[in-house]
This record gives sequence, C-alpha cells and structure tokens, in this order.
Amino acid sequence: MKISKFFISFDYILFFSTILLTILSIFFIYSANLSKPELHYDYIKQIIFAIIGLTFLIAILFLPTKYLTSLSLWFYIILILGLIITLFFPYVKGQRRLSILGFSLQFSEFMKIATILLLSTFLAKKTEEEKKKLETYLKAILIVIIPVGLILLQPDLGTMLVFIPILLAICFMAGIKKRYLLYTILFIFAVAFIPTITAINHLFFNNENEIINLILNIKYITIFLTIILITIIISIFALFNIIKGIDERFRIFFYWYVFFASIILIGITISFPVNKYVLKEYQRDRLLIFFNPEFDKKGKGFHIIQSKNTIGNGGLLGKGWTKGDLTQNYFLPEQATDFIYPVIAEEMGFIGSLLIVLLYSLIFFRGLTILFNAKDYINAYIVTGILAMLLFHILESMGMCLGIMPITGIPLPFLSYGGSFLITSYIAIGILMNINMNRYNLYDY
Amino acid sequence: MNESLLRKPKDSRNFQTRFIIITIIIFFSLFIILFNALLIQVIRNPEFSQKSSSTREKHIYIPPIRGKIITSDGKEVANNRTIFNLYIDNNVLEKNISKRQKVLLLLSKIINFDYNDIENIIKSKVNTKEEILIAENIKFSTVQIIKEYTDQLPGVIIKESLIREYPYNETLSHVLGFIGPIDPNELALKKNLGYKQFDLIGKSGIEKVYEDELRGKEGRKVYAINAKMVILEEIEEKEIKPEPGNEVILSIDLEFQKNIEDILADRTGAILAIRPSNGEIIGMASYPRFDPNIYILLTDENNEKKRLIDLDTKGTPLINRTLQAVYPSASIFKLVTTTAILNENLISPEKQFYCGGVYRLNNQEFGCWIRPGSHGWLNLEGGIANSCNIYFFNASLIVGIDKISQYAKMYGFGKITGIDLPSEKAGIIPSVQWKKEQGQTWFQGDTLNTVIGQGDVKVTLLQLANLLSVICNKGYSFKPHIVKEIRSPIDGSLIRKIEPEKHIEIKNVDTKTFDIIEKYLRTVVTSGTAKWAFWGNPLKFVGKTGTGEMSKTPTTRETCSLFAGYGPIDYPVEDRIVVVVLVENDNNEYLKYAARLANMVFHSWFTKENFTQTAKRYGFPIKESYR
Repeated sequence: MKISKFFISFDYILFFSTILLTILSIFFIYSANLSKPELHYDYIKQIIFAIIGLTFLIAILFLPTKYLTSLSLWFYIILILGLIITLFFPYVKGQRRLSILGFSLQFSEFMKIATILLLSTFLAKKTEEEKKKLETYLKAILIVIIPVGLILLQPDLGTMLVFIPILLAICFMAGIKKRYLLYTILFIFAVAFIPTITAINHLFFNNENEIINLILNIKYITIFLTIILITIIISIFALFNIIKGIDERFRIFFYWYVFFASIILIGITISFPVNKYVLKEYQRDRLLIFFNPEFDKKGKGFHIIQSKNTIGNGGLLGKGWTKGDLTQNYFLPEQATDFIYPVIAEEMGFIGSLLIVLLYSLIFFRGLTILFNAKDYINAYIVTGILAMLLFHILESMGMCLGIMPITGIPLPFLSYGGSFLITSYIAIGILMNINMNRYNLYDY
Repeated sequence: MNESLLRKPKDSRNFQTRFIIITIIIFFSLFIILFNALLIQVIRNPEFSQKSSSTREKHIYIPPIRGKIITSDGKEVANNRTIFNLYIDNNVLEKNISKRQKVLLLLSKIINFDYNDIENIIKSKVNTKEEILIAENIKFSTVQIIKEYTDQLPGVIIKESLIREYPYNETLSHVLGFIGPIDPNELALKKNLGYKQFDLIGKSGIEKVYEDELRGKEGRKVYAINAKMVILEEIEEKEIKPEPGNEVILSIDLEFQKNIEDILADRTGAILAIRPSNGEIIGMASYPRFDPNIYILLTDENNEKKRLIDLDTKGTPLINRTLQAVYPSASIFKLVTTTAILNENLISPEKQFYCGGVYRLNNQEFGCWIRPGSHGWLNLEGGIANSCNIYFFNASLIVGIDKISQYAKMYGFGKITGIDLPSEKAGIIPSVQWKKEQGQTWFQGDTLNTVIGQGDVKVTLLQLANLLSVICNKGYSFKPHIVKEIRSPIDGSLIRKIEPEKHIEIKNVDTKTFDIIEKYLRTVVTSGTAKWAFWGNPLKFVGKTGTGEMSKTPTTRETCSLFAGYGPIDYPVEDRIVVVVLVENDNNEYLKYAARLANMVFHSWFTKENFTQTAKRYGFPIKESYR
C-alpha cells in the first residue's frame, strides 16, 4: 500500500473521535481517583493501555482484510483456551480473574471481537437458502454459547449479556428468519420470568405477595407446565399429520401454538435453575431496583440514587474539572470504571453528556457509512457486530447511570478505566478502519 | 468463490432495508440517552442539586429542654433533672484481652454490676460504632469514683442527660400526665412538625395538650462529611441553637391540691374545685393515682409498677375520674327539672305532692330513697331539700321528658366542656329521639328514671361543676381551664394568657329563677340532706347531694355518693368556688359521705388549713385508710 493512499483512505473522523474520547477518559479517570490515593496512578495506566490499543489499531490497518476472516477460527480457539485457563485463577471481587504481576487480562473482552469475526465468517459462507435453515441458526448460536457459558462460569453476567445483541444483530443482518430471532428474544424473556417475579416479590412485597407466592409454588408450576407439555405434544401430532383429519388451514394455528408454548415451557423450566444457581440475590434485585430506587435507599438503591444525584448535580454547565461535589467525596462506587459517566456529567454538566453522545454519534455515523460501503458480506457482518457491541455497551452503561437500565457493571467504551476493554475497543475501531481502507480491493482474497 | 461474495452488499434490496432498520435503532438509542441526560441534568437539576447538598451533611440534633409546669403558687410540679449515664466506647476500649478484663472488672466493682453482664452488653452491640450504654441514672457518688479512676478506665464515658421529673410524685398526676417515646401513629401525624423516631412526646394530661408549648425547638449542629461518614468540619453558619420549651402556669394551687388529695385519701373517687367567675380549676384530685415518674426511666422496678397499673382494671389509676369517666348524675340532676318548673311556671312552687315512699306507674314500683319511711306532703323546696324522688316523679310527668332533656342540654350536659385536658367524656342525656336512635321506644318509666338522674343519664363531674357554675353566675359559665398562662422560660415574661371564654350562656331563664334555686340549695345545707355535713361551718355554702346507682344486681347494690355545691353565697362571685365530690362504692358509709368531704374542701380553701386541722375542727376521724 502506498503511503499517499494510506493517508487518503485513512478515516480521520473515526480516528479523532476515538482519540478525543480517550483523552477525556484520561482526564476524568484522574479526577475520579483524586480522592483515592491508592488508585491515583490509574490514569497513567490508562495512558499506557491507550498507547497499546493505538499500536494494535495501527497494526490492524496494515493487515490485509482477508486475514481477519481466515485467522478468526484460530483467534477464537486461543481465546476459548484463555477463558478456560481463567477459570483456574482465584476470585477477585467475586469473579475469577487471570492476573499476572498486577495486570489482569480479561479474555472475555477480546472474545467479543473473536466471536464477531467467527460468526461473520461462518454466516457469510452460507448461501441465501442455507441461511434460512434452522440448522444454520443453531450453529450460529453454538458459536456464541461456548464463550457465553465459559464467561458465566467466572461469573461475569454483564460481559455475557453483550453477546446477545451481537448474535441478534449479525443474524438479523445475515437474513436469518425473523421468527427465529423473535423466538430467541422471547425465550430470553421467558428465562428471566421467574427471577423477575422473585425479585418483585422480594423487593416490593417483602416476600409476602400471595399471588406471586402462588405462582412460585413449584406444585402449581409443575401442573401448569405439564398441561402445556401435553398440549404441545398434541399440537405436534396434529402438525405432522399423525392425527388425521385436520383441516390444512388449522395447521398454521398449531405451528404458532408450538412456537409460543415451547418458549413458555422451555423458558420457564430453565428459569428455575437459572434463578437458583446462576443469579445471586443481589443480581436479581438489581434487575428491578431501577424501577424504584427509593425503595431501598441505603442498600440496593444506593448506587442508582447516588449516580442520578451526581448526574443531576452537574446541571447544564457542570461543576468544573476535579470540582464535582459528590464525585470528590466518595459518594460513587467504582467511579473510574462502571460509573465514569456520572463523573463526567457532574463535572462537565449537560455539555459533557452532549459531547460524549456527539462523539459516539460520529463513530456510529462513520461505522454505518463503512457498513453501507462494505465490499462484501463478511465485512458488513463484522461491522454490524462491532456496532452492536459498542451500542450495547453505551446504552447499558449510560442507561444504568441514568436509571433507565438495570444495574450490570459493564464499561463505557473508551471512557471507563480498564485495559482489556480499551484495547478491545481500539481493535474494533482498527477493524472498522481497515475495512474502510480496503473497501475497493475487491479481489483481496 | 461464492457468488454472494462477489456482489456488493449495498446492491441488495434486503440489505438496504436491514441497514435502515439498524441505523434507526442506533440513533434512536443515542437519542433516548441524550434525552434522559437532558431531563436529569437540565430540567430536573434544581431537585437534584438540593438533594446532593443534604447528603453531604451530617445533622446532629440537640434536643430542646422541655418547659416546666408550675402551679399558681409558684411550685414546679414538672421540671428536668440531670442524670448521669455510663457508656463504653468500644473503639477506645483496650483490644488486649487481659487489659480489657482488668478495666471491665474494675468498672463492674465500682458500679456494682456483674462482670459477665457488662461483657454481654458489649457483645450484643459489637457492631454499632456509637458508644454503648451500660447503665442509666447512676448515682452521683459513683460518678465521683469513676472520675477518680479515669486513667485506669480508658473507654469508659459518663454523659449527662436531662430527664423529666415530677418532684411531687403522685400529687396532681392526672393533671400533669407524663411523657414517653413517640409511637408510630403519633409519628405519622407529627412528622411534619419535626418529630423523629425515639423523640419524647406528651402522652397524657397537660404534657399532651400543651406539647407544642412545652417541647421547645430542636437545635442542630451540622457537619460536612464524605461518603465514608467521616466528619470533615463543622459548618457553623448552619448551626441552630435549641430553644427551651415555654413554662406552663397552672391555675391549680398546690397547697390546696395536696389538701384535697389528703381529704379524698384512698377512697375511690374524685374532687373537683373550680372558680365559677372565670372557669379556672383550682383543684382536681382523682383516686387511684399513679406516679408519672415511673414512665420516664426504664428500670425493672418501674416496669413492674407499670404492669400493675395496666392490670388494675377496677381501679383504673390512669383514668382521671373528674372528666374521663361518666357517672349517673343522681339527685343533682333534679336541679335541671327544677329550672324547667320555675322558668316555665309549669307547677306552682307551693304545690305539694305526697311522698309515701313508693310511686306506682303501670304496676311498676319506683321508690324514694327514704323507703321504707316516707316524706309526707312536700312542696318544691321540700322536694329539693329532702331530695325526694316521689315529688320529682310526679313533677316529671307534668314537665315531660322533652323539656327535661332540653334544659339538660341547655346546661351543657351531653357535650364536652372543652377543658384543656385530653380524653374528656361527653356523657349522655337521654331523650325520645336518642332512644329511637338506639332502636328502642320511650316509656314513662324512663322519664321517671331520667328526672332523678338515673337510668341512661351519664355525666362527668366537670359537667356537674359547670351546672353549679351556671347557677352561681345566674345564667352563664366559663369554659373550665387548668392553664392560666404561658411564660417564656428565658426571662419569665408573659407569652400568652388564657382568657376566660363563655361556655354556657342561658338567655331565656330569668335570674330570679336562679335566685330561687340558690335559696333551695341553701335549704339543702341548712335543713336538708346535707345538714349534718355542714354543721358548724360558719360560711354560707349551698349544694345538692346525690346518691347514684352504679350497678344493681339482686345481691349487691353499688352506689356512689355525690355532692355538688358552691359558696359562700354572701361573698362576691369572684371569691366563690364550686366543689364537686364523688366517692364510689360509698355503701351509705359515714366516712364516705361526699357532702362531708365537700365541707372540708370548702373549709380548707377559705381558711388555708390543712387536712389534719380541718378534720379535727369537724371531728372527722383521721385514719390511715378510709377504704
């Protein structure tokens, strides 16, 4: 590649938005940790991470795009091994972490990119007819479910959740049948059903709501699920013409009955072990506390109330850098990582929020342009996956701070302190820029 | 090479649609985020910025000093006492086990506690960061010893605190009431007045009614803190100094109050003395009494006493019998009918009815109290003087129940007087309408029962005092009140004076009628039923006796002895007092005769002699117990 061509096809908007966000991040990590001497040098670490990330970004720019796809399987397998190794390390703050010499390496973050690459490669190789088949979708799910399972064993609920929008977005873009995607979404809601009502009962009714206790009674649930199972079996018989003499027009009814009833049956059945073994009580309560954080002001609602207070205290213009009243007085937990947004919002005010959203919008604008101009489907899917990942991170992290999303600790791209995810984000941007640069190299295979 | 790979994705129609959907989702999500940020940071900003400033301050509330209650003769009947409480600061206490044991052993020896008890108290509260209360109200001598050994007792702290004290114990207990920790219901009602959990609040009596005056204003110290609750500095400009509560001055005369309590002694009953000229209550005694001090400190001894009081359902020591209990008004109620007769000229005062001891109505017998004797022929004056039931049975059928209940209501029966003490009972005056509401019909027998103040007639002593006040004032009375004025605790200056307020004002009754009634009442004392009770008292008192039937069973008959009177009638109205006396379960006993007690009450007020002197003068036996 000629140097002049490199500079012409270099995506300046994307690059400088990213760099600007990183600079903001370093300033506000410094501010957030000002009152915590033990974390005082985190901003320097963040600079180092940013430089590492930048190196990766530049390196990826010179990589031929075809390697992204041909190497994706190896990348995926290595990271799966990394996740397995992580499970043998001790717990840090309730999660298993691979840490060497004080630097912890989170394979789960890099796994996001690997999954996007492998999934895109896998789906792009299928023909339109193959993509319509259930078998293809199930294989796609398998690619995602392996890392998801390993991450759940750590356990890291927040990171695991990111894989769901990635899967849905890439599959949507690839043209998987929409009813499969609908099935997946409804299925996830069904799995969340029992934990949700348990949390409602616990949080708002002090475990004393009679109706919920009735619903949660294992005896009644068993009866209910048995009835559904029997009707499903009958419907399947009818659907596959084992029971004869049913009008063709009614077939469609049985099809949709099996579709929805199986969601309820399997979802709720899985819901029980999920409720009991996967989710801890505090996670269950966090699911719902954002509806009414005043309910438990000093306990579960504390984070969300403090975060909203901090954001609201910023006002239009903010209190000024390192001058946030609440930020500087220990009122926010984890303010350099998960709750970095309130810090910026308090010290820069609404102008700060606007600036962040504007910079993100620029990234998405460029991302969508790259998506539209992608030279082939593999690249289009990769871009879709990356955009879905970034969007979910932004929506969840900022939404949590604003009290419109449940609390799960996931970082805000480019702004939160944390090496692995920052480097991951830089790699993601690098891939976007690479695809953009090579969009005219049609036969680069 | 796959075909799909060769074509550019954007040429596909499906791809374009999906691309548009994804674009919409992305920018819609970002818009939602920005919109919420706008909402919280700009639109709802004032609410949040205020909120956040209060989370950064720690308020330490300083309770105000509760106002004193003082009687009209200047005695403090409720004030505050300093007590010493012993605390242990677990953070300062030695961590080394043997040293710690040494400290606690020494402490246990000084305050005469078991070493294990102290250890258990500390263990039970090991998680609190505040100091642990070990003993409340320790003796001053013990405090001195602990102060001597201060350097050997690290972590042991003595703190002073003020508690309510009622120095005269049982005297005036029903009037004063007591204070206690606020309960959830009161808290819900008074939260906006600045009350908090564990605050003390007046529970009965003056303490309850004048809570707002006595409480004072809470002060606070404000400290800036960080999220770890570490105090950074004191914000002095936000400090509010507590304001002590106002002093409440009672119209009660403590000496007189003690005298009437001695006169009542341990008879179950009540004595009420009131000035008719302005409604001030000068004495209010009710027996059984209680010691309000037991409600202040939570000791085992006090808890036991409280339990005994709660168990005493017959004596009900917490009930103020002058206004929180109702009694049959008995013969005193005859004055109501008399007013009706005289005012409306229904019966000539000289018309005589014959008392043979029994009155028959529809095969039912209604007796006179003198039965098996008889009064013979009596006119109205004789009927009142001898308290003859038969006369009033005859008269009642002429006057009619409608007139009787109308006049009774005119005198203020059946409704509360509005005295400044809590839980006043209204009583009942039966009428045809009232009985209909109960689902029953009115019989003539009911009229006979009503006219002599029996049956469904239920009144409080305060209402009887009010009746006598109206007669004494010739047509009006003032709202009874027990607090004379409110004074500032700082310089003793007058803040508020309770002005007399008209309670009853009867316009359609001629003052001559009241003159005649007063004359009749004088006859009661000079030659009627109270003749012997007032024998030898030179002052001209008037009054009416009564014997109320509390309950009647075939075997036992519980009665109560009543007297209501005022005087002296040759004194100006300002100097007269109204006295009402009630003794329950009198059983016609000489020592429980209410009129005798009333005589002594009158004497004691006008001569300032105490009970012993008064009793000696009237030859009244002085005993340990009059039960």
